[in-house]
Amino acid sequence: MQQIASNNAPSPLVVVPHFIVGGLIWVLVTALIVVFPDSFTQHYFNPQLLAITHLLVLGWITMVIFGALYQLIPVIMEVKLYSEKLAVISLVSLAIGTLLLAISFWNFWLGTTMILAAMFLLVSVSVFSFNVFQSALQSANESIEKQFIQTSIVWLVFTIVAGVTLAFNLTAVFLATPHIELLKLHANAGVVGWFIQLIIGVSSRLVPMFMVSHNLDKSKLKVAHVLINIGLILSVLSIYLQWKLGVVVTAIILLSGIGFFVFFIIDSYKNRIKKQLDIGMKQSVFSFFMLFLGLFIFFFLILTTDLFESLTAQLSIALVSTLLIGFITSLIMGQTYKTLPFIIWLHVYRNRIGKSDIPFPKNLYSELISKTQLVFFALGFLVFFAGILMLNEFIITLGGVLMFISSVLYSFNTIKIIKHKAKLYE
Amino acid sequence: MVINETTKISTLIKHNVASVEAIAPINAHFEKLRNPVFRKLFASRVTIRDAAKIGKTEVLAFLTALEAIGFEIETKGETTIEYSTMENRLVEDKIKLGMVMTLDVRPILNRGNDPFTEIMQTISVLEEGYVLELINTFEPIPLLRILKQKGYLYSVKKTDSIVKTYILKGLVEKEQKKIQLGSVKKVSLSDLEEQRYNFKPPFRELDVRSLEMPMPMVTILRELEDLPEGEALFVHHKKVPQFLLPELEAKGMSVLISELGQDNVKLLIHR
Repeated sequence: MQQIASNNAPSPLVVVPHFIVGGLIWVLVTALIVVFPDSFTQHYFNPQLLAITHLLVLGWITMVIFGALYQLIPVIMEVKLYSEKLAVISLVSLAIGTLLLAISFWNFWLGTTMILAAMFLLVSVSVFSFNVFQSALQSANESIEKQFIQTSIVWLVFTIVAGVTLAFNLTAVFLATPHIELLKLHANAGVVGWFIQLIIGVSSRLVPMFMVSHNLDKSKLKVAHVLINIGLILSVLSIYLQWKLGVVVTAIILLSGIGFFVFFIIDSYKNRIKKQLDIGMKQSVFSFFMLFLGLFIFFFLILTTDLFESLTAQLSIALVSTLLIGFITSLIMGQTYKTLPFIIWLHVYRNRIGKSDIPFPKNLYSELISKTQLVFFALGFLVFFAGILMLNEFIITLGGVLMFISSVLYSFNTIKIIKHKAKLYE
Repeated sequence: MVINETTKISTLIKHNVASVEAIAPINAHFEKLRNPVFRKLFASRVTIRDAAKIGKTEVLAFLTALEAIGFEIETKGETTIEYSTMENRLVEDKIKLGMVMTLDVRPILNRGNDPFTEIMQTISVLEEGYVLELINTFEPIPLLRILKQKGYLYSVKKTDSIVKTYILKGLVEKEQKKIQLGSVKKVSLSDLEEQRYNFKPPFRELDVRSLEMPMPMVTILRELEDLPEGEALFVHHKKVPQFLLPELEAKGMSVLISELGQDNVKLLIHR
């Protein structure tokens, strides 16, 4: 008989601010798309796009992932989060570091501000990694989800260190490989190594849970884990050494790795008990269609062009936008409706669950607003995507406006959930 | 000077040396105050209320004696320290298990020395979870106050001439939890099945594996609302319910968990 800890849930005070800060930065990103559509029609190495991209990946996506992970560690690893204080430190330093970084990119200040931003981000990421790995050490559970999360964090650290190295390489070039190629290395590690791996780890637990699908074959995930990490290591080497064949081969390895995960999700979708999907899951399903779109572009690029010479800047922007906004942002917004209401609901009604007639988590937000938000987002993204491919600033602005409205509606709903006060039905 | 039952003896003496002579005759115990060493040791740690308790006299007797030499009295309802049954139960358990060490401080007091340091030293070498049985002629109020601040549990037993104080070292929070809250344990399926039939029929059963969250939690808590004492609820779950466990524990429920594999966890919940 083994006594186990029962109170593993973190305080909502640690988790919830990530959603607020993240949501506001997402509103800021869409506003910047509206005001500066030309950032998306130039070569991707331009100060404004660098600033917008980093606000998006650090201020919005990484921010919400940090918050969600602090909440999900008990679920996935069956332990208590190692330290809530460290979680607050990682939140604050991530927010400060991201804003400083965006400001330095926008003005192309490569001096003190950039170094300061790098320091804050390094602190945030080190503290976050330490916290998660300390929690993982206490956990006896060795699930594939936990392994995905652990390796994704290794790639997060790699991405940040590579990013800082790149920043120094801008002021005084000391690496032989062309800067633009190193940027691809950094982006690939960040998007596939950190985001996609983390998403696989979290969603392979959450998606079957929300769709209520039983007895899925997790060996697909194990194959995906091996393929993705081998692919990532090879991609770093081949991009760094500018080994063209290696890049094509690793792209195929990575794509098949992600493919195994997609098969797992399709499996879960087909075997679901809950046939009617709510708004959060509908948006998540939409995000997976956007992942297919992204993978298709990627596949198309490998088959038809030589990555180094003829990969057009526009297709790169379209690809990265599809993954970061079409897939990841959409998935985060959808999953927010599944996780955040539950966190607040549990906090507000903890003494009344099962006793009185109380609202359910889904009653904490406006369904009409969430539906409108999804429609505006889906339309907005597709218009924006078309604008990038067509190099048309007006269409990009139009897509930006639709996404901006969507991001405001999303933030409105998020705040409505957070401010929920106990309601009793008589 | 206005005084009340919480005024320290040292304050009185500082204010008016005549206090010593006023208090000393009240009781044989306070004769010792005439001894400057003893006075130094005790006076700063003891209030009038404590002193009254030590000397087994009424606070009123003190206040009256002090009023006679010019102190003003501020009257207030008297408060007494109560020991909950929980502390007594914990200490009894420990004594039964033989986890107890005895320290008789009467010889030290007879020599005119302060046993405080010796007591604290003994406590510091005592192993966590053990009880110190302190034998004394009076209730060591100042010591108990310090221990209370440190979060120790204690209970006091008085007989005619001696007072036994039982001090439980450490683990206070855990020990308290054990008594007040339920516990969560992982067990094998056979243990769980065996335990299940130790409870009264009907053997309630619930399968929440096909429910979407948060319905498993809601359904389980609803079912437990009217679970009578002595009965248990057997639950088929897909996972160890991380967010339900603290709710159960707060309700004083105990949970046995048996993990059989992916998507298959059995829980036995009882009061």
